Amino acid sequence: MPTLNGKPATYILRRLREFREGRGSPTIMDRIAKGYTDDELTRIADYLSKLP
Amino acid sequence: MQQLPRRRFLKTLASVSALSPLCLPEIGSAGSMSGRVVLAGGGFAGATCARYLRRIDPSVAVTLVDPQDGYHACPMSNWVIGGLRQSGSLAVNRDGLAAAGVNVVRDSAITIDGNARKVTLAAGSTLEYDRLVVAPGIEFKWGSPEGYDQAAAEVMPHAWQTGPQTTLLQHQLEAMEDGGVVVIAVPAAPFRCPPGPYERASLIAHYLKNNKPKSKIIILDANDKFSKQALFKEAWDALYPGMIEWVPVTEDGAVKRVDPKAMALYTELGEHKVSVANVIPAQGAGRLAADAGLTDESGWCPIDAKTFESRNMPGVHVIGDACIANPMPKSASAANSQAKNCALAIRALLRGEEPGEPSLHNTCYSLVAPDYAISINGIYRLANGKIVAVEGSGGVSPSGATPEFRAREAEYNQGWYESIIADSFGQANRTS
Repeated sequence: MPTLNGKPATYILRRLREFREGRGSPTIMDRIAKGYTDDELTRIADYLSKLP
Repeated sequence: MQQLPRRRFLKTLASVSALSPLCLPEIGSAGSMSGRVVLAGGGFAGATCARYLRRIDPSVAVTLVDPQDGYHACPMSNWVIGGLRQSGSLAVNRDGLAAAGVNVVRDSAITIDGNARKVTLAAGSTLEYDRLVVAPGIEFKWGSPEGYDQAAAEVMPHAWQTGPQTTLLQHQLEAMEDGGVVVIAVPAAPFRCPPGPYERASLIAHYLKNNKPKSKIIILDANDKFSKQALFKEAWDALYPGMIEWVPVTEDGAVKRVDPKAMALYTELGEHKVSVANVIPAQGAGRLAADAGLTDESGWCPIDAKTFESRNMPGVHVIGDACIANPMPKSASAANSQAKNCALAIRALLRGEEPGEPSLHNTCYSLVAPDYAISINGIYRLANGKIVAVEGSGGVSPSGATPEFRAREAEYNQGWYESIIADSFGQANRTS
């Protein structure tokens, strides 16, 4: 299973956008990602990329 | 450095997403205390709000009052009843609050003076506040159904607050003869954890199928529909055919009266003599909220959805199960999300700033077998002062999904729990 810890924001944002389009074999992340705008997903990705 | 598995990341994202998109704010500068916040109640709502208040502004003095020295989490309590988890594993401590710099006071808040901004504790002391957060959870309406009081609950457990009631119901199921009838009586909505009774029926069925396969479960329901209904029915047909009978209010499902001595439940027209009775009584906001006049005629607390400030008492915020936040359900996840938004609003109000727009989130998993879970979720925003689900987002797991999909959701259910416990109560309480 791929890890996301330490992944750059650009990678996380790409995955989140895929989820929003129903790709990346989501179970619930598609339903979550569809609730947020591009700007919000960008800020989520930025935040997560900076987690220790 | 320890690597974060992808699945855990996804769950972490689910639990932090209510906060992070709109602001993970710059940390306030340390120095003199810039406000005093008192929280009454240390469940998911109160604990999360206390920890996040400290996290987003360490200059705020935060005191959390709760009579219990720990908390017993309700999500996963159905796993205990179904024999899939030890009840002790649901206990969480206050270490994560203390580590965040929250002053934890083991007492009960009993009265609120909204004008003087003081709260009185049972032991007699008073606490002054600039902002008070009331997060008392639920209170049972004893006598609804008729005959259901605290003594009756020792015979017909509600098991709707985790603790001795949970193990009582589990032990009754273990002691029951094969071929017994188990009834779950569901009150009219709203109540804590809308999918809870149906998850419970599923996990009791799992236990009975493996141990007492001639037994039966009847859900006597004061409602005519329920959360994730189609998905539960799909699972019951596949896993527990003929074992679970659901009787809606329209077919005389509402339990009006109970007789613990006769182990009987009475609906408008019918009598049900049962082996095990799980009676979930009607509920309202926790006692402090009702005593302090924070409730309306519904028994729950009306709030300004932007800040969760009480409509009845300025300076007091109500979050979690006690507040009226529909379409958000009364769930741990909703409480956690409301708590973060409330913390941000309080920080703004203490600084004399205009609170930002809330971004709210809920996820509820239901386990129907050890390798089979279903979920419902929602993303919410404010529109015309009301909480509304973001169009096109949220919803339930797909019907007809593969066994692999259901098994992944069962795995994520466990991860969701670990994440929300750590996020709400502190890393010290991570359960994995």
